[in-house]
Amino acid sequence: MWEFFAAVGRTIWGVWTLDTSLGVWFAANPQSLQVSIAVAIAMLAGASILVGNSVVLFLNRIRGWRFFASLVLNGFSFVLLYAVQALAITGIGLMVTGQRVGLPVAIRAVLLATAPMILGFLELIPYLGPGIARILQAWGMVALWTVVEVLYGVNRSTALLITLIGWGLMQALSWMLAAPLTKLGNLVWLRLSGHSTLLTAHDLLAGQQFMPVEFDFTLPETGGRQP
Amino acid sequence: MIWSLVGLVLVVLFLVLTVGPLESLGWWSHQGADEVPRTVAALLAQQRDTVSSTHAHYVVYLSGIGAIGGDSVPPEELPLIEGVREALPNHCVISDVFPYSVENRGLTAQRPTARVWHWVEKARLKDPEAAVGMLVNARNAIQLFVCADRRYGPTYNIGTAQQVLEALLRNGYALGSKTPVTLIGWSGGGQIALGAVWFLASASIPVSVISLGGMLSDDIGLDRIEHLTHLYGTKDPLQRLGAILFAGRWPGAVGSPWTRAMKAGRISMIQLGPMQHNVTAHYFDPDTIAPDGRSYLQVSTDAIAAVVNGEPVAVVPVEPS
Repeated sequence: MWEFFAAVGRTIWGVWTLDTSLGVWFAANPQSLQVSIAVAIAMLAGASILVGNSVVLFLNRIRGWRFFASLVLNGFSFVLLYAVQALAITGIGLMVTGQRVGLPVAIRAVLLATAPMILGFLELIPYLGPGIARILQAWGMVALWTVVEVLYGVNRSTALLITLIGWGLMQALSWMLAAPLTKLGNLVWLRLSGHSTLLTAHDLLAGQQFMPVEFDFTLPETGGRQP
Repeated sequence: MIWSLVGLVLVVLFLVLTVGPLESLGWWSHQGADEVPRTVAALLAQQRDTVSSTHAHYVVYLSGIGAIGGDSVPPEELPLIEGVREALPNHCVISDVFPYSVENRGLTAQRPTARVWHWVEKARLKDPEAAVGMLVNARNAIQLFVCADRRYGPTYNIGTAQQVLEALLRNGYALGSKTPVTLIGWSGGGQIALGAVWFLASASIPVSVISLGGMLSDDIGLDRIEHLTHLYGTKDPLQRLGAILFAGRWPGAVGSPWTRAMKAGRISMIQLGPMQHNVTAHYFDPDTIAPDGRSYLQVSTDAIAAVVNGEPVAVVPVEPS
């Protein structure tokens, strides 16, 4: 068990530092990287990102096991998302380079690129958090770029082309699947929170949680409404 | 070795910053979401029996980031509070709201870290300039950013607004009476005051804010404020940080609450004189004397009283060179 965690830690550090020796090792031994390590990294990243955005869980009073279930679920959905990303990259990579990379190897490699998002919990930091999240996204993109470069053994510009087309394809997919995904998300949300509506900070400002917050302090004597 | 130490300090700093919003978020999740509607219901019921406030104007003082609790403001601030009370004898001046906790719970109250804060408080009583006192400032400064953050501000500010509202009611304020309320926020208290405005104004309370050297953001409370008066010293770099750190206050921030309030003439910036933020020659300094013979403490006190009364502010006159 300890060895597993140590291996996860070493791999995360390797991706964070964009360690080329790790890339070379992976290129030479693509099957050596255990699936469990790559999945663990993506799960951690998914959970950490949700911690960073946990304001939505707190506002909606998701506590205890529901809170942890949300983190685990986000971890799984993150793995799934990047598996689809890997599928997209293998397709684009085939078209651009003519090389066929096995999907299991591609998934393992692409999941590694989520390592910077393990710091996603830092988005919690007041005021600076959203900026840190943008930096992490950019870092993740650079990591993915490096992974693609190693995976296909191509130069940086070709790797960038594959990465960018893959990213664009994912954006298009998420736009096309927005409606069914929202439906699925609402279903999961209902199961987790017990209510169907999602309370946001904006709702709180509008006073929707404790109506009538726009107090109607009608004075009995005058019968007038206070603006 | 040095880099390891720097790394460790950075990790600790990031972790402390990360847990900063959890107090107010946890409060909302565990009790605030139930408490606030109860408060609103109780206020509505109470309002039916009350016709007018016991005072014509209410002033609530919110301390700076050095405060440990509502009943333990830094000693240097006490003469100013007393001075304001004396200068505004017909006003109700309230100073027992701790602005850095949504529950008005001081740092030495029932908290897991209460012992640490007790120790810091003792050290600070022995030596007001003790370095450990900076821990209080750091902790409360993080809450200032929680208050200013659009994600966390709503839960934080609804908590502090509730505390201010309860303090007003304890002192005879009648909701619906439209009795004016002025929040005085020193340093970080200025931002906390702005944050509370949104919800206080929801209760039809006309709220103005006087910021004394406050680090202010472009808080959405500005959309509902009667007036904001920012009193500042020319040698106070901390109050300037607000205009640098908060993008909504930058000159090009079209459409931000700050810009809107500025355009509407609801913000006044008044230069008091060559005051610093702290250490010496600051707003509370009774020993530094201005050319007109008043101490800096008196200048600040007079300025606050003048703003509350709607009179011109007597700033430190410039010495002829």
